[in-house]
Amino acid sequence: MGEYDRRGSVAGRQQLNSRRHFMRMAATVGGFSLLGRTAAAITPERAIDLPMVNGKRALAAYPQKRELMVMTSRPVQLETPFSVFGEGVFTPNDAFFVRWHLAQVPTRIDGAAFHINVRGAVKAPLTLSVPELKTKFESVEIAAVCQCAGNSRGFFDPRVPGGQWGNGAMGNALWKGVRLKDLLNEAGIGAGAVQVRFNGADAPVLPGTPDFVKALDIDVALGEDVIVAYSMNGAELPLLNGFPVRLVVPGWYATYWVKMLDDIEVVAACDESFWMKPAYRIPDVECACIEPGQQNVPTVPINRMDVRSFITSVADGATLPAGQPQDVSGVAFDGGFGIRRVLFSTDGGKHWAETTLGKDHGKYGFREWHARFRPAAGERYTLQSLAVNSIGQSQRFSPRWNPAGYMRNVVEAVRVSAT
Amino acid sequence: MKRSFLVAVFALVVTLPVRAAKDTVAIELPAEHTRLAPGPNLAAAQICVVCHSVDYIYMQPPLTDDQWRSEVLKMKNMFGAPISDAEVEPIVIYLLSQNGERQVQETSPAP
Repeated sequence: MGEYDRRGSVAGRQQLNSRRHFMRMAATVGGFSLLGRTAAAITPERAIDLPMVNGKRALAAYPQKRELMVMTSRPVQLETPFSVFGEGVFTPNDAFFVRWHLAQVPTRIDGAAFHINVRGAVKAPLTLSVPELKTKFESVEIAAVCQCAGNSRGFFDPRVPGGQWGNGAMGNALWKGVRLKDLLNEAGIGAGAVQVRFNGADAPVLPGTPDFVKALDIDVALGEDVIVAYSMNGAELPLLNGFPVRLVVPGWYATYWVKMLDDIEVVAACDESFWMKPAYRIPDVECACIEPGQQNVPTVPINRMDVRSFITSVADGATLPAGQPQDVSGVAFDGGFGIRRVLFSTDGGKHWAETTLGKDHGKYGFREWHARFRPAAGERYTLQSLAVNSIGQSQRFSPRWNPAGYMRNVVEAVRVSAT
Repeated sequence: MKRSFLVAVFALVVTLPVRAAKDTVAIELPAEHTRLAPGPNLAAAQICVVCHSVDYIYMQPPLTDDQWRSEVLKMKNMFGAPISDAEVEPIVIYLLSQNGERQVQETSPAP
């Protein structure tokens, strides 16, 4: 988990990152941009060094956002600094990660004029405004983790091309909205419906670039917990997280959580457009992994998240006071079966102890866990957490590898010492 | 690490969302002031920034020529980037010069 919690440069990484001056950002003081000043004015440097080659990320406060790590500026991709996850079980809206695929993201949305179409293989197509969505259908609230398929891609070894995320392309929120199945049933699903396809208001720059469209099999789309959400942690969605509505597919990777959702189309054939094939696919084997270099392995669309857990109260490299009991806590989550237990180790996995689970916010959200240990002076510890879900699935002890860098869920390690 | 680098600036305009009218949310994204660094075939590589910022290039781990070629061909064949067959290798050479596993000597002027 490295140096997520440290701002500014660290000597050892400074050298490593010396050529990435492009990451340096203009300081802004009191809201005045320093655009146009000389390079000398670009101080203080505000950045986080992710523990990976080319891992320096500038910090910047985008509209409706606190300072987040800028992975890319167009399309916007912002990573949540890992320290945020130690602040609470729900990830604040202004700290929630951002990931757009195409550069034409509307920056002005009229919530009154925005409409969602439900069409295709349905008996009666619908066009719903956001107020109609809120008033005509029953509302539901679900705590759920939204995690990018490529969260932690930067830690793959060997490295793979793609968005070079640390562990901060995830977040947990309380989503409020209406059931997708209620919308589909209102429209009436036609005979031969196979999938439901989702499109948002974002668009590509070039006409030849595939629009970002995602599809779910009809049985998944009709699931009880798939919602069209208009509220996030009790507030409107930040524009960069999909205002005014986005799809929420609890337990499934964020690629399906289409933002600025304005088109729901029931289709009679399996969608195989670019973002379903060849993009966002995993090897069709139980581990979703292959050996580096292995070719021609059949693939399937990525789907449910696998089990993960993190230590969030202690940063890698921390020094703890010796001789006193130390509380260590973190979060765990899975693909929607619910966390049953989290184990904790202080010796790199040789011995494991049960932790105490925090409040249950439902089977799709972060589940807090708490442990305690007493470090001794001069000793070093490798702290690890290992989550097990309600159907017995647990984290991997050795990282999986696949060419797209999806689904990392290895048991992570936080190294600390005590004085 | 001795290669030249660009000094680029994220213009960070800290803006609050504007409520122009009830239910309307408008934001202003920070201006993008990142530019491709000088390197061989820079002119050909300018096509990259039509669709995305240059951090897409520099955040990657250093990639091999096969990996960069595969990225360029993905842009050309799947994302509809107007890149001619003859421009593919020059762009690969540029990308290798910027963030390649095999270091390429910078040459100037670009061919």
